[in-house]
Amino acid sequence: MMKLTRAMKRISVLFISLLLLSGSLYPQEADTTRSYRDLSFGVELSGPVIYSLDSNNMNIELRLSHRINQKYYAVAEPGISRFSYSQYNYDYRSSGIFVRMGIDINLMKPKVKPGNHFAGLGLRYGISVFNQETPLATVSNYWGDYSFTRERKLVHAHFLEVSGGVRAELFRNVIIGWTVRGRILVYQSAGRSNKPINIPGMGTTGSGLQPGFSYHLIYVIPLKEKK
Amino acid sequence: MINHFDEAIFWVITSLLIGLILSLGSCTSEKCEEETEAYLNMTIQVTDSEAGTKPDSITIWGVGHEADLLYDTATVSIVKLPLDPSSGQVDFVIRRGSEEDLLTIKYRSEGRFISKPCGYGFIYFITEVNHTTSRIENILIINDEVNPGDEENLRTFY
Repeated sequence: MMKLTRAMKRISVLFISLLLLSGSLYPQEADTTRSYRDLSFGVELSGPVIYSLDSNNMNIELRLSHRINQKYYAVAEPGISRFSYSQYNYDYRSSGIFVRMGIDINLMKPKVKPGNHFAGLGLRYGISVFNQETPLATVSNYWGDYSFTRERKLVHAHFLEVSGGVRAELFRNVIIGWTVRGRILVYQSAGRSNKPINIPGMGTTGSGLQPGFSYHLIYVIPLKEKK
Repeated sequence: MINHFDEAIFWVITSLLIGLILSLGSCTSEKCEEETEAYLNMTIQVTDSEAGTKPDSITIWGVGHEADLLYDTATVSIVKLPLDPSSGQVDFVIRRGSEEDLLTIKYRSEGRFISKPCGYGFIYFITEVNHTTSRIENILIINDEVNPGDEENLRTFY
């Protein structure tokens, strides 16, 4: 029970620190016992789970990361995506590749003997290249129904992402954790009249910040120890 | 090692639950709440004996749709006329009192994606307007771009 209470207090502190972006509350301490530098390789787990429940939405995503120091990680998240959507007046399909690149900032207080835990923020720039098409769309009005198609077309899109999340070392060098993401579209080449419904790596388009969620399983490869 | 492992498990479970709550909170119902159809907005100004008043008894239908009246003996100063995205021209009959005029509108249409719940719609660009002169004296193109909304496109003078 004591352990549980202590852990809960710790998580509260982590979340408050995350919300307040208060990295300065925990000044970095020098760590002379272990280097933080590492490489990690991860897979995103929620995409396959969602695909098993909804075959119209496939997202397979990897996570490659290099821990630069106690606080910063360079991150690249490449992936592939396929999306299809149908409703009474149109069908839509898109498929393509993407990569999100940026940094993660660990706001956790470092310890003398730390695990690979993380609670912090991430910033990403994303680029996506994909095909989209509207096999059938129908517009109805006074003059009757009019059906038309939009042919398959290659589109590229650019977006920015801010994220927050936590990761915990489940076993030695095996990490699991989640990230909540907010994404905003910067540019898409299809133009206003052909605005994509779904952009690989970004998800559904719309006005303002679009929410996203990831759950990662990560393997860490330590680089070297300092003496 | 045990303490560390327990704590890690607790983190993961707590994180998963919070993530699940947050992701469920982000789900919103999708319903088309935007105006999707672009109507040509035509104002009617009376300059004959009833100057300064709304025209009485306006009846409008599309040629070929005589049984489907858009306005039936209405007292209106602005009418919304639907255009046909599958064609570059529509013809309307406008009856005021017992006299009829034929209004021909030529245009270019452009499809556009509106939103995920609404799908596609069309906007139009008026290229030419012709009319008979039984009662209509003149028609001016005020704005040639026909979008969803209430912006005036044509001004008709009786």
